[in-house]
Formats: sequence, structure tokens, C-alpha cells
Amino acid sequence: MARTDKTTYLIIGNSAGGIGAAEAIREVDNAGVITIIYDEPYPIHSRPLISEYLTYRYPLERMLFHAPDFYEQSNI
Amino acid sequence: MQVNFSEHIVELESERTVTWQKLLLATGGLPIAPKLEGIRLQAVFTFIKLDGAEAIDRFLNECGKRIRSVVLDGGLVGVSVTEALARRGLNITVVKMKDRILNTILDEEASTLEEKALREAGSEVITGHTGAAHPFCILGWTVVYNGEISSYSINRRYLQQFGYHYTLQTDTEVVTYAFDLLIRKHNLPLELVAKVLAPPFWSDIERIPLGEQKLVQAVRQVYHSLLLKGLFAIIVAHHGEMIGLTDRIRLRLLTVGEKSDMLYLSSEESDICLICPELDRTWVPGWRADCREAKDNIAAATNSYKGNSNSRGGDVKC
Repeated sequence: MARTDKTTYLIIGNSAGGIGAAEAIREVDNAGVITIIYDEPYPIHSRPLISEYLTYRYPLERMLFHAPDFYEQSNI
Repeated sequence: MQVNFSEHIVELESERTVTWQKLLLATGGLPIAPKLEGIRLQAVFTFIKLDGAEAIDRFLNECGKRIRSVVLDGGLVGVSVTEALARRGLNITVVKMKDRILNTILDEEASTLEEKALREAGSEVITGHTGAAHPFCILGWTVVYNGEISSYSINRRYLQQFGYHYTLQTDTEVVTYAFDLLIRKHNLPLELVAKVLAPPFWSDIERIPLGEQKLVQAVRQVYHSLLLKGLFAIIVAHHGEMIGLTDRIRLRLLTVGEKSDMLYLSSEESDICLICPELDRTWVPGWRADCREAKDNIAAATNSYKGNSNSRGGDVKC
């Protein structure tokens, strides 16, 4: 059976724009349901740092925007 | 993923659906891959997301040796990936269409500093190569031309029907694809290609002997949309041959220079002389023949006027 979720705010994209918007929404609306959909198999990370990733100076753990529990903490 | 905007429903590939009150699209951009031959080959990468960086990393590890690489465009992403690849020990050539790297965010002095830094790290930087730069090389054709093609839009639309994609939007691109279509795809002989691109006027076609006349008529009708209008001198080189073509009323000329077994083509004789000051001979193809024809016509007219068949007019200078 296909599952249907209802959300107040749906954000497609989980990079700087999407996350920034989610944080801004949380500042003014604590109750509304925020859902983020994205297709990358990685946690949110800094895009500009992917060059550093290529040189091995920054592993993925050092490129993250937020702590892994960010979504739970912000109720996203 | 399917987004149904009127119903406020997103359907995911897992068949799960989500309904929303407010929707924000924050998907980011896509890199523009120029439509070049081989752009989908294995060793061609884009660099905008982490999976792109991982793909390059995997490729370099599998390759396991120093390889030459080219970075297209010296913007912020291009420069940062160049620095990263240089640190991985690669020989890199950065190609930037504008005349300096990082031209949108740095001033000239800062651009020069960054370019110097890249060179010191072992990279090569090529700038100022816009689409208008000559020679234009693609699909095995090398084209240079002098002039202006006013039928550009019609020619382009016609060629697009055969699957040619325009990336640089220049006249040169039209000329190149026209040659490619006619010679490589449609197998026309060169002489006929010239008659397609710069056909004789209808009034002149009437005077061609009947057999050839039908051919030229047919070619002009079939390839009507490939007629190049305007003024131009074009030189096309292709696997051991070089072709020169001018517009049909020769508003631009092609001059030929010869020095032993070397042949020069240019729209200006002075340009040939710059490269080879002592030529064996120079001439303009078709020019003398035309003059002779004009001379003959005038002579014939003079003759009929004078009623004297012996006085061929000799005062027309070529």
C-alpha cells in the first residue's frame, strides 16, 4: 500500500538553499511540518568544499553543514 | 519523482506520496555540458556535486598514473578544481573563453595573480578563445572565413533538422556544419557543394548546357535553405585537402599564392606576402576567366556594332 504523508512545508533540495529556508521557517513557525526531499545519498555538506574533498584534505565528516541530529533537533 | 502542482502532491519513486501546503524548489542548477563530439565519454566529468568529485577520484585511482586533463572554463569552480587536480599531480590545461580567468569576480590584477599561481603549480592557462576565434575545428573540419553571412538563421534552422546543435552561434559554425552535411552525410562532390553554398543566379543557370543545367537547378531547389547569402571568403581544410569558396558575386575575393609546391589561400594578397614574401605567382581564381568572358562579350558587341569580325576588343584590362 502506497503511503501518503501530509506536510505544511515541502522543500525539494537539501543544500544551502533548502536548509537555509528550513531554518528560517523554524524561526517563525515551530509547529508546521517541514519535509525535505533530496536525491543525494549524502548528508548535507558544503558544495564549495568538494574540491578539497578531491584532494583528501577534507573528508565528508568535516564538510557537513550541521550535526547529524540536526533534522531531529529541528523537527524536520 | 513526479510533481503535481495543481493537486499539491509529490509522488516519489518508492510510490510514497507527499501532499503540501507550501512548496519550495531548491534543487540547485545543472552544469552546462557543451555539445561536443564525445562529451558523454567515460573520462568527461562535471564538477558541481559530491558524486562528481567522487567519480573523478575513482577514475584517478583506477588510472593510477599522471594524466593530462583539460578544465573547461576558468570560473570559481573551474579554478578550484584545477587547484585540486594540480595537488593530485595532474597536468592541467584550463581553457577560458573570456580573456582572463575569474573575470566575473576579480579585477584584472587579481586575475593575473591567480593565473600566475596556477602556472606556478604546473597548470597551463589558455584564455581569450571565444567562439569567433579562428580556425574553427570540429568533426574533422577546419574552417576560417572572412566576411558576413546574412542568411545565418535560415541556414541554421535547416541544419538543425539534421541534428546539428549550435553552441557558439557563429557564422563559422553554420559553414562547418553545411560542409559536413553535404560532403560527409550526403556524399556530394566538391564542385556540387560549391554550387549549393554559392549557386549561380537563375539567369546564369539558364545559360548552362542542358544536362548540367538540370543538375544545378535540382541542387538549388533541394538545398535552397543552405544558400549562403552575404559576402564571404571561406577556406575549409579536411584530411589532406583545402577548399576555398567565395560568395557568388565575389564581394570578397580569394587570392591564391604559389611558391614551388606550397599553395596559399587568403582573401588578401598582402597577407600571403607577409608569410611568404617571394611568391612564384599569385592569381584570383575565376577572375581572369570572368574578365575574358566579359571581354569577349564586349568584343562581340563591338564586333556586331562595327560589323567587323576581325577586331576583337583589346582594351579591357584584367
